Amino acid sequence: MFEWLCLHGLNQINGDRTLSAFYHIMTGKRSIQTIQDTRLYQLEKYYHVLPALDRHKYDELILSFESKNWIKKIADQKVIVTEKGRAFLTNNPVSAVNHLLEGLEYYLVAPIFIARFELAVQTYTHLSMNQHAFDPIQQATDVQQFIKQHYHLHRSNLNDWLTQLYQRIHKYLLPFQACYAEIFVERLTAYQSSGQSIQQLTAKHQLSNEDVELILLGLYHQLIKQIEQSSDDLLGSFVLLNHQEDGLKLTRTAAITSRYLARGFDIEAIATHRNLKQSTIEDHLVEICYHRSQFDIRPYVTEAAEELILAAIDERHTYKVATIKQALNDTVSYLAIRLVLAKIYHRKKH
Amino acid sequence: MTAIEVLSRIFDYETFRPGQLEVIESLQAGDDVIATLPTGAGKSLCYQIPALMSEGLTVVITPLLSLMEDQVNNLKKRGVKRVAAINSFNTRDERQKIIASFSTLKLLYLSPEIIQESWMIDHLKSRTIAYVVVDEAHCVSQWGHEFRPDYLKISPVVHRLGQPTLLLLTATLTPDVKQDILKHFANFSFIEHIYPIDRENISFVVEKMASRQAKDQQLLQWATDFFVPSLVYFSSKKEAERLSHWLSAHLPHRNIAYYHSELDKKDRLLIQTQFIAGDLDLVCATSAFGMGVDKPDIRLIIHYHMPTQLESFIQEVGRAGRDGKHSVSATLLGPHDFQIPEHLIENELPDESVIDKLYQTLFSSESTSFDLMEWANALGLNEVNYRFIKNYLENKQIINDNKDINKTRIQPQLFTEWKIQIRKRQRFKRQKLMDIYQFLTTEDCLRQALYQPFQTVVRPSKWGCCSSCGFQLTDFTPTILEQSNLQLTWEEKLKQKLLPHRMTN
Repeated sequence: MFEWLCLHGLNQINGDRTLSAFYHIMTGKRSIQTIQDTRLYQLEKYYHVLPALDRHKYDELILSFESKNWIKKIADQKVIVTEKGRAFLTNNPVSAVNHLLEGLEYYLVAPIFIARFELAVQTYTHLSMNQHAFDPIQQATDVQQFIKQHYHLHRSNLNDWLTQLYQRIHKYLLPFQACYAEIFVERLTAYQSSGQSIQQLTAKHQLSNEDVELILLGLYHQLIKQIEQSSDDLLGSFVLLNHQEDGLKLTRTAAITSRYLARGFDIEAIATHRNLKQSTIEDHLVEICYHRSQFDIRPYVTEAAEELILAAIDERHTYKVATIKQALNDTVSYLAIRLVLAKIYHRKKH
Repeated sequence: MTAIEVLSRIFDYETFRPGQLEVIESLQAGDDVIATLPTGAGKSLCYQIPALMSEGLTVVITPLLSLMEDQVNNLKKRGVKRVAAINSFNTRDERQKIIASFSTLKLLYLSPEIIQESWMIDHLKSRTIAYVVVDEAHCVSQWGHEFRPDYLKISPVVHRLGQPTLLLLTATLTPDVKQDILKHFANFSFIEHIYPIDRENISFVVEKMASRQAKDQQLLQWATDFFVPSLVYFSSKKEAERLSHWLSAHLPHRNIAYYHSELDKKDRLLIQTQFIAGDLDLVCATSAFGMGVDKPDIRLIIHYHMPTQLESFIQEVGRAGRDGKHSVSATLLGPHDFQIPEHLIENELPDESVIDKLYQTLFSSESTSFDLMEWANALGLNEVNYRFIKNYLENKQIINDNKDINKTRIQPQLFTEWKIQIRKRQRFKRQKLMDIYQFLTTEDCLRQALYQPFQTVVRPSKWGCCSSCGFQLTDFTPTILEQSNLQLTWEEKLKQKLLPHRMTN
């Protein structure tokens, strides 16, 4: 699955960006560029799905793609997927796990949900057996605090709560293949039954580390989705974040720029006021445009320029900003091209 | 409450182990103490109990971050909540929380760097300090196997705190190290509680092997013959992983895992817990494993690679047989094994050319300030090297805390002396390496050779001494683990995990 995923990512990007771009997407780099790439190349599902992925491992995989002739180098650090590579992608249709992932949607909620869930299972199964001393599997104080509060609500009927949890999780896992369900269950630490580490699951199920991590994460993403869609789920409170940190929120600095814009400042004035470079403010503009489908680009791109840019994209089959600019003999600005690309993203989405 | 009551109520032990009560009583009488207790003898109880029984704050200085965390978690687990650890890994938030509750703390673990900071000293001065504990006290000595320059700054700080009762603790203490330590804390008069560190229930075996393949085969043989809780030590993460996979493939009935510092925190904790609980029976580990793993029934400790000094070897084999039953230390010695630790030693200290470069940079610098961190990063120096250099520059007042250069101190002879010091230190490390090599290759009694440098009398063994004295692994008859081969479906497993209260009958 990991192999498929990487090749798929490179295929989507199609040589527009360097190899690092998809690595940054999978590890969830929080830069404006990466988030834009994620959307532009429709890789939302895979954002932040392997935050601890080792760069060497990624590079090694790329080398193996090369030796199998699945990819071809077109420039330094840039590759396209060959016919042979595409055949691999179509002959091995998206594996089940890739369907489960919802990276960009849940990358903030998932780690918190998983931590709370795991600690609840460990704590409540111990307490139901009157075991008060154990090493908490989650050390973060805010997670422990959450469980403490949750416990106070359910302390009188802990066994009932666990029975309901069993039914909830059992029902949830039932539709998946047994191997997935097994990995999910074996990972849990409970009373007198410590969870299996990633390496153990890897060995037992004959999968790679990355595959095991993707399966676990995918299962959690879908579970969170179910919980969010229901109004009275047993685990409803587990997906609520304390400080409402919306995954799709603007970076702080872009949000400030956005407020200036609302007050009628232009790019130059904002740059002066905030003591930032104009190019930085332009980055913010592009970020805001990706966030708001209604964002009006007209003050920055004339209708004629937009037409030209769209035509160049069609003609050259590329989203590469530099190539487009060159095709138009530098008659349009980088900012204009990037804003038009953001608009294309919104159009594709609908 | 009396000490024995604290022991049973909080720590769940019925009796003290040798040495513990003696140290506790000396401390409570207000005497400064220097103590050695063997690994696994419950060193930490010696100060935790008096700390809980006293009015003031007890400060524990320890260089081991993982140990700090283990101890704090362990105490919290037992219901002692007024404990905290401050080190360079705390987040700002964590630190602020600790400071906010500072006036109510009973036990505070600090790294040697933190205790020198003036804000920390100010906080400490606001409290009555009951005891100051220096854990791993051998780090004070140049001749200790783990010299830490930061430790040299502890004694002036203790003075500034108004001379509270001091406890110096270590597991291993050679005569020259002890002398060094006493010289360093010259203003104190210590009561000594020195307990033997030799282990009567451990037999030692060294097996010389012709090649790596032969080592692999022998390891597999031992793991096949002895289905007992086992630890295998490696000096390389890669090799630990390789042999863990290899053994698993050959011995499907055994539960095997590897452990090293690159695994994420959660998995490290899982593996420790599983090993203690018996869900794992063999762990291939680097020296990162073991701190805080108090498992009584480890029967077999295998060294696939040798450590760089006797002290580490003693610590590592000391994890075997804490329940007093017969256990074995077995070492595989290959023809080129000497080169691995040699290489490790070279990486530990900066190269002389680095010192030359630093002199050049400082000498020709036109600025009055110097960012060492930036310079070290640009040169690609590792953390150990960086700290070593920083300490020297500050000690010799070449650079102060504020990164100001003291031009008058940039004298060539200071840097020459420094290079001599490094050379000395390297020679010392090599000597340590020679010592352990000689121990492993001796034809004489291994037990004597191992423990003689640390204590005058080495006790005879209970079950079989060592391979030099005729002990063989065929003489080893430990209780073999039972196999559980239940194949459960995921649904059954889920039920077992989530509904333990329904499974009991």
